[in-house]
Amino acid sequence: MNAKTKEKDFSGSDDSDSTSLWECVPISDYRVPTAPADKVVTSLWLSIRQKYQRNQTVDIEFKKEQELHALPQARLAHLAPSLPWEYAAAALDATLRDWLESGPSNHRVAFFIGQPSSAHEEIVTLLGRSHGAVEIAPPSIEQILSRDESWLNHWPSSETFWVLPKLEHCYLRHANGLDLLRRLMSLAANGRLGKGLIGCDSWAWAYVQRISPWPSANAVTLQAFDAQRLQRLLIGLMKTRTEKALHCHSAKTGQAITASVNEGEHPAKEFVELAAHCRGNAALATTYWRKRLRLHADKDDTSGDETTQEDTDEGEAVEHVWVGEMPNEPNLPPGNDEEFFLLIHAMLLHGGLPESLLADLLPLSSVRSLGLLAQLQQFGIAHCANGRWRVRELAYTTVRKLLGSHDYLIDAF
Amino acid sequence: MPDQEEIGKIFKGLDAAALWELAIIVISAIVLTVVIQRVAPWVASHLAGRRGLLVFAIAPYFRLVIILTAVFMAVPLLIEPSLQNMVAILGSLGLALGFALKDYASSLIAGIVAIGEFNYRNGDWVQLGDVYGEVRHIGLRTVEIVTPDDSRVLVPHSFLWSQPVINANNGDARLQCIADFYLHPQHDAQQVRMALEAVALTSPYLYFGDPIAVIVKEEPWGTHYRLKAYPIDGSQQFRFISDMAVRGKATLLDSGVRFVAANAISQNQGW
Repeated sequence: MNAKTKEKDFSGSDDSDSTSLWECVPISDYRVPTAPADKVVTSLWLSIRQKYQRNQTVDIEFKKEQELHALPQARLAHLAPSLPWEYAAAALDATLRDWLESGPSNHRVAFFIGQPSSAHEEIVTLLGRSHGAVEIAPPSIEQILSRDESWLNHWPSSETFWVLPKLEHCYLRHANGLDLLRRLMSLAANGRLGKGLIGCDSWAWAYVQRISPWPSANAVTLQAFDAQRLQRLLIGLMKTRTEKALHCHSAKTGQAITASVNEGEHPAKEFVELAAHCRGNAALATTYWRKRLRLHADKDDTSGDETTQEDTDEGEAVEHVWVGEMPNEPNLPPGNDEEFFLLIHAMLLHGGLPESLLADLLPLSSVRSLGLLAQLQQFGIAHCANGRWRVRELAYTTVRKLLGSHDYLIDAF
Repeated sequence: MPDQEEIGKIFKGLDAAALWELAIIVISAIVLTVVIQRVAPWVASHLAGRRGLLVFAIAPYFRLVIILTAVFMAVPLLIEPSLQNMVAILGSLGLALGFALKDYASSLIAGIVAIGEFNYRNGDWVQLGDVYGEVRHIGLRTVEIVTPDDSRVLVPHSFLWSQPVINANNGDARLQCIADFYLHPQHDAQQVRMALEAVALTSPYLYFGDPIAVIVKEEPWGTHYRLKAYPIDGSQQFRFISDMAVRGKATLLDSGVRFVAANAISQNQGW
C-alpha cells in the first residue's frame, strides 16, 4: 500500500508536494493542535457557564444559522462518510516498513495506539491482512477473570507474524483481570511471542503503562490532524463524493472554504477551532463536521436528499453547503459527579463496558450502575453499542476535560 | 480625680462623624468576612483537587487581614495614637486578658499562630486528640472539624500549645490510605504482595501519581499486610479503603489464603 498515492487520489487536490494527510509517528511526537487565544477564552467562558448552569440549555446559535437546515441523513452519509481508514493503515505500513520487512529473527512487538473512535482495531487488522498475519482475538471475559493461560498457549509459532487488534479487551480492571495482560506483556518483552503488532486504545494504553510499562519508542500513533490537514481531509472527502461543483461556505462569515490550503495560507477559522477542540482526532472532528453541515432552507430541495443546488453559466451543476457553529456539548446529569466519573472512566479504560461487568469492576451495585447509565444515555453522554456502554463522540471532549480536571488517569492524546 | 482626667485624655471625644466612621468600618469588616466565608467554600466546591483546597484554605487568611485592617483603622478613631497612650491601653488590655480571659486569649493567639504556621488549613484531614476529621472552618477561637460520622466538633486552637496536630494531607488534595489484612502465616508472601498491589491498581479510586506500597510484618499470630495507596481525592479515603478491603478479601480468599480469626495487634505501630 502506498499512503501518498492513494491520498492524492482521495483528496482530489493537486498539492502532491504538501505534507501527507495520514502520518504515523512515535507517540511522543504527537502534537496537539492549539486553539487561537480568543477561542481559548470563549471555550473557558462556555465551560464555566456549562459548569454552573447545568440544567439550563445553552443556545449559542446565530440568527443567520437558524435559516439553515441540517443535511438529510442520506446526503450527509454521502458527503461526510466514515473516514477511509485504509489510508491510515497504509501510513502505518510505511512507518513500520523496515520492521515489517525484517526477517523472522526480529522478534520485536510493536504497538499502534489509537485515539478514541479512531478505529485502531480496523487499521491493525487491515495491515495484518495485507501481510498475511494471523489475527488474534482477545480472550473471553471468563478467560480473563479465571486467568486462563490457554489463550496464550495457543499463540502462533514464533516464525509467524501476528496482530492483536484490541489490547483493551485483554484485561479487566479487576484484581483477577490483570494477570493475562502482565503475562502477555512479559512474553512480548522477552521475544517469546515472535513478531507481532498490537493495537490499543489510548486510554487503555495509559492504564497498561501503569501495569506493565513499555518503552514508548516501540509505540506509534496517527499524527494529530492540524487545521490545514483537517480542512484538506474533510473538504477533499466531500468533493470526491459528488460530481457537481461543491461550494462550501462559513455560515458565520459567508466566506468560501476550499480544500486546497497551500503553504503559508491560513486554514479556515472553522477548522482551526475544530482541530484544537478535537485535539487532532480526525474521527471526532468528522462527527462534529457532520453536525455542522447545513443547507439553506429557502433553496432546499423538496425531495430532501439534495443540498442547495443551482447551475453556473457554463451549465455545471453547483451545490452549496454551509458550515455552522460547533454543536452544543452535553453536560453531566445532576447528581453525584463521582459516581458518573467512575462509570465513564471504566468505559474509557476498557474500550466500552459490558453491563454484566458493572458490579465486578465498580464499587456500585448493578442496579445503581444501570440507573446511572440510563441517566448518562438520556443526557447524551453514553450509549450502548454491541453490548458495550461507550462514551458518545460528541461528549468525549467534555468528559475528558472533566476527568482530567479531577485528577483521573487520562490518555496522552 | 487626676487619674480619670488622664484616662479621659487617652480616649478621643467621639462626635457623630467619628461614630459613623467607626460603624462603617465595623459593618464593612463584618460584611467582608461573611462574604469571604460564604464565597470561598462555594468556589472551592466547584474546583477540583489542589485548586479547590487552596481557595478553601485561603479564607481564614483574608479574614485575619480584614480584622487587623479594621482594628488599625478603628483604633486611631478611639484613642490618641501616641506611644504613651498605646502602651497604657495595650498594657491594661493585656492585664485584663491575662487574668479574666486567659483561656480565651490563649485560643485567639493560638488561632493566629495556627494560621501563620499552616498547622491546619480548610480542607485538611487532621487528628486533634481523639478527634479525626476534615477541617471545615478556622474561627478566631476554634477550629471546626467534621468527622467521618458527620459530627461537628469545635476544638479550641489552644490545643496547639500542648498536643500534637496530625495532619494527613497537609494542604494536598490527597492523603495516604491504608487497608490492613491479617493472614494465617502459611502462605506465599510474594504472591500475596503481588495480589494486593493488583488490588490497589484495580480500585477505581486510585490516584496513579503516587506510589503503591505493600508492607509485610510477621507477628506471633500470623502475617500483617498493610496496603498503602492514595485516592484521587482525600474525601474518597473511606470509600477507597473499603474498596481495597473488599477487593483484597475476595482476591485472597480466591487464591486460597486463610485469614486469621483473631489477633492481638496494637494500634499506631508507626510502620
